[in-house]
Amino acid sequence: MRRLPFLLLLIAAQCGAAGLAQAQPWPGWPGPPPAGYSASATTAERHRQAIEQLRAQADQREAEAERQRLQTDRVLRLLEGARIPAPAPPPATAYAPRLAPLPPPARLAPPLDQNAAGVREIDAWLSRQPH
Amino acid sequence: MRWQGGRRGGGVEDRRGMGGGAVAGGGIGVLVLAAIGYFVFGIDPNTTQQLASQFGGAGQAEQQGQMGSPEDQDGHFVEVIGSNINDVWATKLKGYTAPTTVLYEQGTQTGCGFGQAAMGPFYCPTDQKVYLDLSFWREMESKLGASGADFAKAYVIAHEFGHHVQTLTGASQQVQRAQQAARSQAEGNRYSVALELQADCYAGVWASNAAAVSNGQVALEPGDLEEGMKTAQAIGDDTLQRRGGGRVSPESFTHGSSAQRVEWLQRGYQTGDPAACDTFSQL
Repeated sequence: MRRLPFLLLLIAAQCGAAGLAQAQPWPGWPGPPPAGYSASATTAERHRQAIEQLRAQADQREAEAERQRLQTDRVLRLLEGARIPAPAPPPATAYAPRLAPLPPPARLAPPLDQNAAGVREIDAWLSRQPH
Repeated sequence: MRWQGGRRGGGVEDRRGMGGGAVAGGGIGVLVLAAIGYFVFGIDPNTTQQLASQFGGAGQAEQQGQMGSPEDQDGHFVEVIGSNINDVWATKLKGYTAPTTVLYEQGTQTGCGFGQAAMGPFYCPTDQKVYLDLSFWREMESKLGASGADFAKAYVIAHEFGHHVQTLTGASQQVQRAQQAARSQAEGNRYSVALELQADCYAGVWASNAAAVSNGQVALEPGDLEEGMKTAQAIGDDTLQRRGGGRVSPESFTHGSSAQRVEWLQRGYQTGDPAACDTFSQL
């Protein structure tokens, strides 16, 4: 029974050493590794951090994909809203429709003979000074 | 052509004597509504018209003529020929449904816009109706140099029913899609020519089977086929362009040359089989 506290102390010491190794990653060359350094614990910690980083990246990309999906939906709705309805099919005739003949071009009135009788008097009357 | 004893199956809508019915912006009713809205409620008349257009289908009043059997000789002829064409196609095309034949004068509202006599007989796929202004018979003879024989008239009616068959089979819709995707007007016109020649071929298929489905009550007589071919010859694009005094330009053809129209009408008549009317393989 007297050995039990001793065993408990020994286990506690070993656990403490493992915790110290986790908390003290070796900074690398130069110099020797610190006391309680555990190469495997450091590697595990490095993997954990890498996984955390990948998980954060995945979350970020998922959020970006969701944002783009919403944007695509919005653009599609805009395009659908702006789409002009398809034109009605044209009637199918038995032969090429006859076009109505164009009306003859309007004929301009012939120029007035400026020397005709009365033309000068009329022009003078039109351009008279107002009273 | 023998037709007087043929079956009268109805399906004719008579709009003759109704006038054009083309009131801009939705008819008198919309004008009255707009006036009440403006004077009583102070609503902008444009708003009333827009609302009426939304609820009333593009703001155009649909005309409805008298359904039944026309009493006059021309109407009787159209009814008998239409019924016989329907009887033939019911034996040739599974699930065939008959179109309505509309008789009108000068102009009328259709599912494809305002139809005018100047367009000649036409078929509207939207409302599945064949529109005939019977003045086209006189025009065909006097202005186009076609035959005035009964079979010549019936051929044109059967051609329009052929367009109805094309709508039922989906050929018309395929051509419309191909035309929208066409890279040039000339390419789009080639699809149109194929569709029209197929309708000519279908007219020949009807003529070939008319007597069989009517116990001989509707039948061609000697010389009738020649009258039909004379009409097909007269309404070919090259002949019409030449008659119009213009240059003959095959790339602008929409219905096919005279020779093509005669050839496909004949082919339909000789085979009596719609399967022989594959005009698209020769595009």
